[in-house]
Amino acid sequence: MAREHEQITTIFNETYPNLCRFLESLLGRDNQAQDIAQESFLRLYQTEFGQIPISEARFWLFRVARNLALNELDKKRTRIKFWQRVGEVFRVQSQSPAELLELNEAQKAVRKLLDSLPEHQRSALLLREEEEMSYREIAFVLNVSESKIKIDIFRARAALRAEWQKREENKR
Amino acid sequence: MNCQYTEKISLLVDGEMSAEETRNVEAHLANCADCERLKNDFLFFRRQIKESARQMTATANILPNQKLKNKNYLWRRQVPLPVSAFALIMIALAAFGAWSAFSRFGRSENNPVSEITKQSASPEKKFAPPEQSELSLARFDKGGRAEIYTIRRQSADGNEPGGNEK
Repeated sequence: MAREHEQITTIFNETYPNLCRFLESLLGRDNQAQDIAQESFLRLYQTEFGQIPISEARFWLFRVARNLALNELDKKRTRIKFWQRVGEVFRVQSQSPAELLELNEAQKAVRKLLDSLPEHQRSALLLREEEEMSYREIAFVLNVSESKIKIDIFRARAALRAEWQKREENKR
Repeated sequence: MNCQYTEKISLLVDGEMSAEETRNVEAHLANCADCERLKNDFLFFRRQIKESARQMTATANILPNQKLKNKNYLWRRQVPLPVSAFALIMIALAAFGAWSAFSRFGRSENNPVSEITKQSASPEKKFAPPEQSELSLARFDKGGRAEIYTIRRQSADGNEPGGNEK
């Protein structure tokens, strides 16, 4: 029991910040990312720990966290149409992480373009670039085939490039 | 871009190709300026994403020694109801208990019906009339037999109240 606790503490210290960061990219910076990250660890601790290899715990956590985030986004979707208008006037909605941080212009612009991508493409690209997961690992996290991951990542990059070029042309 | 190697550039920057395929694509890059630009753009986006991610992690509100505490969630696992439903049930029970206590308290303190019952059960017992000159119990009898239950205090000289009393 003590050994298990030690192992999960190690996984927690290594994975929790990255998991929060990934969830913030999906949900925005409104503290839900931390709630969902903690819920994911709790589920690992209470149910699956001991049944999955330690080496795969990290991918399992990302998978659970992403599914919980998608559930949260589904709940939000029905409220967003109304509150979007309110938020535009009163800025009730939280700012994106890119707006809150002191990023340079290019970083801010790339983050904004990332937010405009479809969720599956954005998730695939973030897991590849931020977490340096292989296509096989990303396929496990997102519960799709490897060939879909290849296509999604390529399309995400192509879309970013197209939007970036449009932006550069508009600047001139 | 119509180059057939376009999609392979993405695999190249991710290292997801075999050694032979990697050599082929790199050989192609030496002769295709468009694909070389595409590769540089993909690497540019990677740098921006990684650098902004590093800043996001640095400023996240995370306690490095945060420990998992499942005791706060344990009750949630054992109570099948949502929190709001549970709270409503508790409030309803408390309100019912308070109402029940007040209604019992009120009945024992001032219950003319029980006085009448006592009176009819033992009519020979002396009934001490209330201090008010008139006590109408019609409200308990829905007005049907109000006259019977109207009690008037008899004055010492037998006159009705309201008469000239000294």
